[in-house]
Amino acid sequence: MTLRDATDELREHASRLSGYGMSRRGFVRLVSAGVGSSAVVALLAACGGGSKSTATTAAASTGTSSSGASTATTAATAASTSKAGTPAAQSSAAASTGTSTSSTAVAAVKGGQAHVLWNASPVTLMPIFSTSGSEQQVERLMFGALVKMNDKLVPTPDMASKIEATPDAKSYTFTLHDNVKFSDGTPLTSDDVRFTFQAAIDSRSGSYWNGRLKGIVGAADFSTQKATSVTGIVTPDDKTVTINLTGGDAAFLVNLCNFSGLGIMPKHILKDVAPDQLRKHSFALAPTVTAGAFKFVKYATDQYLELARNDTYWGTPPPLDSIFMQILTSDVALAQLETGKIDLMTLSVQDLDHVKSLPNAQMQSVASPSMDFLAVNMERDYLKDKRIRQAMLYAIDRDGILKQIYAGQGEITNSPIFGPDWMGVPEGLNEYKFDPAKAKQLLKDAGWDGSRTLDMVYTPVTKERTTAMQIIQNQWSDVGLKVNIDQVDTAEGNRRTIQASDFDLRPTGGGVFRADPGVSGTYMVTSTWTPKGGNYGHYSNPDIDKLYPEAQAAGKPEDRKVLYTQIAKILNDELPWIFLYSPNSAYGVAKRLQGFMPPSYVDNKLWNAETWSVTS
Amino acid sequence: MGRYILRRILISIPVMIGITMVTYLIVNLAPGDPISAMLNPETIASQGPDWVAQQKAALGLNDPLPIRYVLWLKQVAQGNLGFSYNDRLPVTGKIRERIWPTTKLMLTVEFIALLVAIPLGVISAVKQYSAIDYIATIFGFTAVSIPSFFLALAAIYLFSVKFGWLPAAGMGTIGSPSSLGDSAKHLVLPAMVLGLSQAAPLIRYTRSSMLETVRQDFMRTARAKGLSEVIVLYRHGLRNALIPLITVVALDLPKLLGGAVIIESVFAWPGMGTLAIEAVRSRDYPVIMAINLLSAVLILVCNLLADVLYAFIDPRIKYS
Repeated sequence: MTLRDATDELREHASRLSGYGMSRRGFVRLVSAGVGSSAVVALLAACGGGSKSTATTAAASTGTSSSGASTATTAATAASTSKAGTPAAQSSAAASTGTSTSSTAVAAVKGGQAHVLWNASPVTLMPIFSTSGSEQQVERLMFGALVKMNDKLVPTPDMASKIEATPDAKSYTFTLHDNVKFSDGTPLTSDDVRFTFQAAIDSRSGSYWNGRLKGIVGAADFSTQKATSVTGIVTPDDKTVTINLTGGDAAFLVNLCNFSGLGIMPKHILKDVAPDQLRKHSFALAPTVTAGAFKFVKYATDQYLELARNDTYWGTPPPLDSIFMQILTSDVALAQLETGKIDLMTLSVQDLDHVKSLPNAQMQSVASPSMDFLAVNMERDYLKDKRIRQAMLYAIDRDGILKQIYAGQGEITNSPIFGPDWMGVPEGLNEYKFDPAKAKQLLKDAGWDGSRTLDMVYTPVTKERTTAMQIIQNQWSDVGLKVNIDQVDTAEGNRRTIQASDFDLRPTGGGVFRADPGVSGTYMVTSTWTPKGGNYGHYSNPDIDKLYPEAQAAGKPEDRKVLYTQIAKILNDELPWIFLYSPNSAYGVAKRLQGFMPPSYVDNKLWNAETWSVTS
Repeated sequence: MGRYILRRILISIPVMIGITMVTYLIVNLAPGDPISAMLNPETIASQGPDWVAQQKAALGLNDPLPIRYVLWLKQVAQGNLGFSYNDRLPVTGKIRERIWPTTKLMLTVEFIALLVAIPLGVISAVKQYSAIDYIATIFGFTAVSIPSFFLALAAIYLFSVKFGWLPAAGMGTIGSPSSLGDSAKHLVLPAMVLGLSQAAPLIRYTRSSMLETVRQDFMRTARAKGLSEVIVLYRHGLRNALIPLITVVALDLPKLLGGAVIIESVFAWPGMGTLAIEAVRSRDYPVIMAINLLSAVLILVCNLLADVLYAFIDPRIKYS
């Protein structure tokens, strides 16, 4: 059919339509009626079925998971019969499933739901691929880990009832609890542990745990497929796993449970998946077979994740029926905290006073393991003189910033080593108390060129940090240091600092420095200069290169403390980073939520969710 | 008319290709790349020296730009929109999940906007320079000037926290089975906040169009016939005044797809807007391109629809 025939036919159709005696007016009336009614019908129809279409359920659903879902729905239907949207809804649900409560008692109820704020949508829920702490804590709760991070940043046994380490820190033996079962009833054995570790080490899977676990004997060969298994993982029986390391690593457990814990994946579900396909598997966003205290029910994209109590859990059954991780902006979450819809969220400094004034919630604040600092590009000639960097630190009134911007919630840090408890803050460090005169003097001595403008590549994360940077800029200009704050987004910031080394200063915050003094090693040694590692400032000092591995391998905490104190003194003097402070972690907790213990690391809120309960 | 439509459709194809070419160029010119977006020193620290290069090669980012564009175009021609760089999920699935929430919200927004705008516009025009006219004008300016996120937060504070009448965020109450009433309650705040600011320009359009129409001779004739004022205004006046409005609304339809990023993030509405902004932030090229492609298609279709509709409704317009 030619084009001409097509147009002729079209014209014929059109004239036939008008031949039916329908005028233009009539046609318009018909069309608008049709569109209007179909829109209304579609709206009504889909309103009812709307949320069903957004649920993503996996192919690998099991019998136990559907019974778990029905428990959740009976609690939910009880809630919907009462007035929706008020705390009263939760209480009727709790009462229907467990012991009764009087209206004035604060006794915990068995059952009920907890709603926790999640600050970002998950990219994946498979333990070996998560790079964000907020995903990892949920995975730890669902999958269970050998060892988990507790609120004081101490590795505590989770799925392993016993953990033994040899004095030279080269070998760790984990003994699993009796009765550890996946939610589909299959027992979890050392085979699943081996499977998880090997999937992580295998370079084909693309997991970044490959780097974290490269200290295991045989990992290098397995990761490049030169061996068929990792010889350093020994599984003498179903309940025992021994991991042998090539070099003593006293911080291995900390590494393993950073940020919350590495979930153990089910071998029987995933064993036939090719390593490079693991990330794309449906299990990644719908892990229905897990061995932890809570199991996956549903993930509504960008809205919430629903977890329900796992009936096959090896430990004491958790009091809560279900936990919802809700994805909201913090302003809305604050409003929800006030109306009782959210039970737990991380708070920023500006919201602390508001939450303190709420009748149904309280503010809890603890020291955090992270630190704010300015990374310096040590390759730039004009920044190589340490007097310049010392002047930079003397010129900042860190005490003032902490008091004014962070409401005093935090502590000043003078080196990247300030914890944990056995380490403490090393003695003998220069405190760099605010002294602009001294800063000016140091700059003069070093022959600083006052006309030079430094380039600060800054990715805005929190309002407090942005204000702090502006204050620093002002205080530096008072002593003759000109700096330009270049606001960029994460992708560009990373490209400039990590890939292109095109920066003078980079404000950064985060990390888990307080968890173990060895954490800072990644950023300070020459062998981890980018692109090989995380040392994007390209700091290099042979003494530091020697001391860090020595301290890592030393067995006893007392010996390690001595070595780390030496490291801290050197870094405190040379200032490869302008160390600022460690701001506290603050949480808004609804009073109805019992058992929550504020963790040092903000993305580890769920560390003891197995023991949480609600009073209504 | 048929020939006109066909010609327009045929021209659209090279326009589409041009749009995708320009978009691809711009998106790739933006500083940063998908790998940088997901880097942090911890991640690199734990990888081998070639990890960054390996990841780039795996995503095909090392090929020259024109080759990558042609590969992408070939893929799309076969109906495959690719896989997201973020979570390796197919892009079509991601978009399909979010189209309905966005469409539902935006349809309601348009509905509210028209419901508010048309009567107000008519009254403003008929009672020109009266109190109502000024109030409507001021309201219009205010609604357009106040940033939508501020309005949204103020609305949440007022109606959700202070009065407790409406839920603060989300599409439905979590943990309860969905119901019509529940969905509707969650729809009210975001639709009202956005609908009112959308209504403002529509009020002005209706008003000026109506002003023009009531001055026409046929209006005087209708009145002379003895018809009631209401019938004169609505059957004779408004019908004709709405013609340009139809074009405006038809051109607004592509927003059904784009959604409103800010409103969606404030109200935790899982729509296309949040997908788009996340994709841009993480330099997720396949998703960005897919959304742009869809938007381009929709805009071209809506433009054509507006022109055709205009010709259908108004017999004075004829296309060759």
